[in-house]
Amino acid sequence: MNNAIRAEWIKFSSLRGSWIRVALVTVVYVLATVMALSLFNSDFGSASESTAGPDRVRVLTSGNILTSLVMVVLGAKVFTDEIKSRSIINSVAAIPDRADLLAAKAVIVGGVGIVAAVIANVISVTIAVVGLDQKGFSVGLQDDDLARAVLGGICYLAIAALFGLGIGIVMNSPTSAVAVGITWPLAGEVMVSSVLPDWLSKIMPFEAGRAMFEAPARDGMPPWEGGAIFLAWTAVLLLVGWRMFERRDLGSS
Amino acid sequence: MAIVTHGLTKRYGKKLAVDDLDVVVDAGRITGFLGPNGAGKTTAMRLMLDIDRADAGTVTFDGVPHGQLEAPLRTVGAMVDANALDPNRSAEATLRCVAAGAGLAKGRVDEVLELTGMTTAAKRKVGGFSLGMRQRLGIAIAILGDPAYLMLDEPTNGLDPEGIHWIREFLGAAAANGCGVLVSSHLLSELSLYVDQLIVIGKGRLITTGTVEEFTHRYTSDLTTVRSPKLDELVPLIEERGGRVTRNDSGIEVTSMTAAQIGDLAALYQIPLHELHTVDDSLETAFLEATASAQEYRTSTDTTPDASS
Repeated sequence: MNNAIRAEWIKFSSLRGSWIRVALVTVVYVLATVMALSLFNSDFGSASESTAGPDRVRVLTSGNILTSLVMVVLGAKVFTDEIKSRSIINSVAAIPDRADLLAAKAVIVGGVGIVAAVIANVISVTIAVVGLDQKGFSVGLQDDDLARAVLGGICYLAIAALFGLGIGIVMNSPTSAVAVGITWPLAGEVMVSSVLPDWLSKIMPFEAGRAMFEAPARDGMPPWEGGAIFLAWTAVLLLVGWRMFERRDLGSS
Repeated sequence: MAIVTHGLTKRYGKKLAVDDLDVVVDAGRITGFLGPNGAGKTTAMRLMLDIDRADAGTVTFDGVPHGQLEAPLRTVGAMVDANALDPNRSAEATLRCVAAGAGLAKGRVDEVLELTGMTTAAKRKVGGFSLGMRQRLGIAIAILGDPAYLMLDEPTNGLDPEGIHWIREFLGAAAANGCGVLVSSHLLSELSLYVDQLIVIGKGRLITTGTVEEFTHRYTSDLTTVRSPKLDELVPLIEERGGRVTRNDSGIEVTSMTAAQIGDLAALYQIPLHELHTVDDSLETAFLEATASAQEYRTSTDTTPDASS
């Protein structure tokens, strides 16, 4: 298993595209924060200290939704790049146990996802706190579940990356994986939810996951429960992908 | 010590790509895997390596199924698709990925780069490689684990004469060191230069196995064409001695008798010969003969095996 993880890391780190996507996580997150900060100025600048609390959290966590799309793509590409180039056959030559191969990919995607999300958050939170401070709003991480929301955002992004890996494995092609991975969290889930009963639409993966970085906590969906639901969906997706991958012919694509 | 397949079967949709295939690849020998394009050679190799999942049948390496091998890359190294490389990775990084997965020492990557003459291209991205260079890198991956068995699908494809020579020398040395080599080709003339053993398949089915000599002997018959102004005298003499004669426009064709025997006979009876020529049925002919009924895409004009795809 250690060999498989080491191999995955070399595969990931030896592609420039990987680093571009890691950098994009921070760039998108920071841009979203800066945008939210400027909106905060115009829309909420005159708000009173009491109503501005939740909005401050929103500034700090506003990058999560857009950035999660980058994460989904990052996760999907870790699998689909190998399918597209067919280099997967060299991977299974060294590691014939396909479950090991996927587990190693999940470790790398999850690990990279967390590190990239932490870096993005450190920079963005700093910018947000300084920016809000200049506007006369003090932000302490002990306020309004703020620390939990930031931590929840990091978990949300890391799980999104794993979800993307799952989509990649199931779709088995970079183009369809990226298409599904971007449209599902952005629009697909909302569309599907509109025809679903309320209880079901509440536990859709990204919808539930977003509870992790909302503050104050959403009614009827405690943050970590939402996170657990998102993680459960992701686990199911990865399991389904694994079962599909086990049966697949890798050389004849 | 061998790779043994038993009842190996693979179906793609309605088409049986590999049909109940039983083959043995011995250690310490070079086995040629021969068949027209589309015969199922590559598919069979993929099944042996568990890259594609067989519908039925078993494959064992010294008795152990691929999935249970302790050190898969040290047991079998393969190149079944020279283009199965990420174009955005350097040759060295490509090898390091595989080496890490197999738990091989770092130094081994440099060794195989050196062995395959890829050292100077090590840092270059695979995307810019010619087919010949991809082929070399593919071989580098195959030999990375210094495996007990090597499986190479059309390894000389895209190599220059020097590269082809190198492959032959390399495989010969590997076999001499006890490595069991399976090397596929649709060209018998090429394989016959360096293989010890042949496995011939067509339409996914085993046609024959044996040495090149056995194969040639079984599927070729020496045919001698003879022209002479006194054929009427010669023919009965030949037939008396067991030769079989068929007449054609310009002369006769004789089988079951060598050109030397016919020449001596003619000299003995002072019959002038204007032509005495053995049509040395080439290995290609033998191969065509053997696979004729199994050729999938054969047309009236395509009679060469490599023109069939």
